[in-house]
Amino acid sequence: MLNRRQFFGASIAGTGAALGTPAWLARLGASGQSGQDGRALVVVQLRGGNDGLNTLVPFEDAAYRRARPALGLAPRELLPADELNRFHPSLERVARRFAEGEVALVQNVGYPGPNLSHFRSVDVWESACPEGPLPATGWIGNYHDRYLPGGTGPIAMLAIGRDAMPRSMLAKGDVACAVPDLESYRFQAPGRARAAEARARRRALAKLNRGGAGGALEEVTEAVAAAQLSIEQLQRLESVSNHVAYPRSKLAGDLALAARVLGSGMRARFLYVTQDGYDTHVDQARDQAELLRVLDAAIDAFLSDLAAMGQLERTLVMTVSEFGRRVEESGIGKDAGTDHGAASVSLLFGTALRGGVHGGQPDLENLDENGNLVHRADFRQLYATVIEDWMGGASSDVLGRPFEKLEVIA
Amino acid sequence: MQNHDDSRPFAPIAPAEWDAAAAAHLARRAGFGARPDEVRRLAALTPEAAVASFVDFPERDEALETRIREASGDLLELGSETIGGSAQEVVERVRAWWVFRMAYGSWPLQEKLTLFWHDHFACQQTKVVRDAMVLAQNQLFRRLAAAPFGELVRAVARDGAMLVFLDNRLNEARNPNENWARELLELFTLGIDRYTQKDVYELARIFTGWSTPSNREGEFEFESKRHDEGDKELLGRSFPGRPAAQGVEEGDEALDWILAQDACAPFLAGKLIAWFAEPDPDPTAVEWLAGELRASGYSVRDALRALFRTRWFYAPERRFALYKNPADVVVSAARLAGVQNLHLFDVLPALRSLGMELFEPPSVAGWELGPAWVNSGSSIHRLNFALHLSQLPHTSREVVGRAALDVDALAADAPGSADAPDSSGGHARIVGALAARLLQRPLEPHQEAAIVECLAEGGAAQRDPDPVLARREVVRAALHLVLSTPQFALA
Repeated sequence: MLNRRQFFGASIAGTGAALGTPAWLARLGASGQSGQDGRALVVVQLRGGNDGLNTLVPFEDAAYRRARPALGLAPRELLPADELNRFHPSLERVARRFAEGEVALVQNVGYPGPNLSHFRSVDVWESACPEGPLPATGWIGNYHDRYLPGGTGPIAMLAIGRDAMPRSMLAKGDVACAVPDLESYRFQAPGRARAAEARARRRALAKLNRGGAGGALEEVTEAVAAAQLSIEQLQRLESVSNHVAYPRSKLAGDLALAARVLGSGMRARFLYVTQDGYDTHVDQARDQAELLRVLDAAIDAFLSDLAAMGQLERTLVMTVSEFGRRVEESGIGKDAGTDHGAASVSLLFGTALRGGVHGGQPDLENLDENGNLVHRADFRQLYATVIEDWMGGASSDVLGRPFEKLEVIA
Repeated sequence: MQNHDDSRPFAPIAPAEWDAAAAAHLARRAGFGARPDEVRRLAALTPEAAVASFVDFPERDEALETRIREASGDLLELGSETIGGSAQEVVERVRAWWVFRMAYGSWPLQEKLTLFWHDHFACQQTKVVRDAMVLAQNQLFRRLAAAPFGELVRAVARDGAMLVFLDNRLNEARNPNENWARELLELFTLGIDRYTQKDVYELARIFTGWSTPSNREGEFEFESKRHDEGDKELLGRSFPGRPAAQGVEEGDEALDWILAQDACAPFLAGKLIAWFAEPDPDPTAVEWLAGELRASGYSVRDALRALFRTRWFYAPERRFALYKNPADVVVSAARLAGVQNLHLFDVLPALRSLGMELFEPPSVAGWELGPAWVNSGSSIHRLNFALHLSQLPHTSREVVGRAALDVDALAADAPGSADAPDSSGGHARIVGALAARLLQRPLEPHQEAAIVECLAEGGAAQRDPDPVLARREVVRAALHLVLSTPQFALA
């Protein structure tokens, strides 16, 4: 099996990426693929801590009304979900898909000893490690190292719309790819250069960053090599278009690119996009409404696009957030917001789900010592469910130990 | 052959060990790199004097202010009555002004520390919005860059941008807002798990009323009516209730108490070492620097002076061990290549694409340092930035109104390169000269061969009948490639 540098060298010399059928391709059969390309997971990170209580609202809960005189949403504003819960008014299209059985919500997702620091809690969710020192790899990276081809294969993990790799995708070696956007994602040559000169420059850039020096230099050359590999892979996207019109938002733009990746045959298995802004200490009514409106429209376009491309059946979309918000609001009137909380709701979208609300009702009477919702499902149970029932694999290999699955995938 | 006294691992570097390589290392760390003539000057000083030339910066750099005035029209002039444009436009001009200061100031350590504090006390201008406050905070970090840490923290607690960003202006007795208190303990002074959730709550109560009025934005105002007068307990000490009028005293006492905690000095020391010395701070070094901080009343100037003088700082394993942050990448390239008017080059988009949007760190925890700067995406942008820099118009004079560089001068010190500019010997000499200037260490043989091979293949421009123009294109190509080496990404 070629290592990354040999592959890199071969492709620079122009022999192209056609390597025949490498041994790793045969192993894909073990990973629970459906269809030709294997199943994909798209993680949508709601960064800042999304208030689950106002996303899926326990609208008849008196404790909810008491805790949120300003932020409490009136039942008539809300959209139907089930008997006890209704959706935030911004989630129009999500509510419609929910009625069609295409959405599963998992309530009360969190972890023991919830950490109220953003970046620490993001680290927890992404490393799947609430205690002890932070491991160097993330949960998706662990899955990759265990089950997906390393080095020579296509880029299996892709973070879209951001410059920095999410911790969840850290694996042994720099094998994941963070693509801020497609246009700027290539090594440029002088404007006046003809094709031969541009190729000569790119060859030189590759040789300069050959690797083998060890230490910090190795980190740098590995990153350049990974960039080269991913550029070549992403060139396939030139011939793939979206099938629907997307709304105008960063999230929608990132999901539109994600859809093209899934439609391109690139064999990307994990995609990661982020929507910022959920840290609603103040002005929550206005800000969360807008964030959820953007989320609703973007995800809807994404799912429609995947359906039109024939990629929906093999794709599962899952939202994560580092924590929810405190039950009791802070501040007054329209300025009102919420401080960092604990358990929150995760949303899943796909065609193979047991649609509905899972995980029970949030218990607003028995909060933890910080006034936060106590989790009932550990987020690692959510991961275990996705690993075993969707992507294929033994979750304890990925997460370090077994976690009881949730019944959300049909 | 080192006369290394193991019982004093942080002994000062001896004059006999002080050479051009050490001087260049200091300039890369305490500044944004030094050109060959600057390296020679530094190497000729004693280590103590060389360190002082970075650390003893005055509060105001008159030469730089003059230069900013002379670049007028292009550049933000502080104190001018009309800074036109929307808040976002003003912030963009402040960014350009700051990059200009980093590139052309005589006291680069002051600007590096301003950036360090901006990363440490991270605020996001998209939330602060008021451009005047963003600038005021930047000036605060510059003015108190090397001051005693306690003085800086007290000033930050009163800073308008911080009061807005961490919501303390909404923190009041009947409805405490914990945001500032939490980040102050977790991110600014003690670190995770060095305090309890109860400490956060009590500290929030102590800071009730610390605000900035909406009609005099940016000014600090203590609103006694909103202050919690009750008894508090913070980090094991009682703060018995006192009248609201003494609320500011109470807050300052709380800050002093926090700085007196055992965890504070090592926390700050760790951050300084990660920024200036090595990505994964050696606990022994952290402990030593924490001791220096405590001994000097938390004087950052004295602590850095001590750090930059140790033999430890100059050890071989520490040279080129830091991953340059995007400002370092961009400014060091500009300084070492002699770019003029950097602020008129697309430097702000370059910084953004490399992962550093000034005044907009990714979170209140600042930027993630170290190898995180180096990933596949930023690699593409770093190499493309090198290309664009190499394509800047040539000039051999001082120019205004546009970014430019003296391409010919870059390889002027390549001996004999004018004789046979299109020979591989001539090309190799040009490459060697650029490597010495920009990397301050030699290229690997295979790297030198790769660049020379590329230059030989050449493009149409390199076959220009005018030998001066042809040679210039060769130097441009070599500049692009040398700046694209992995060596350039490290300091």
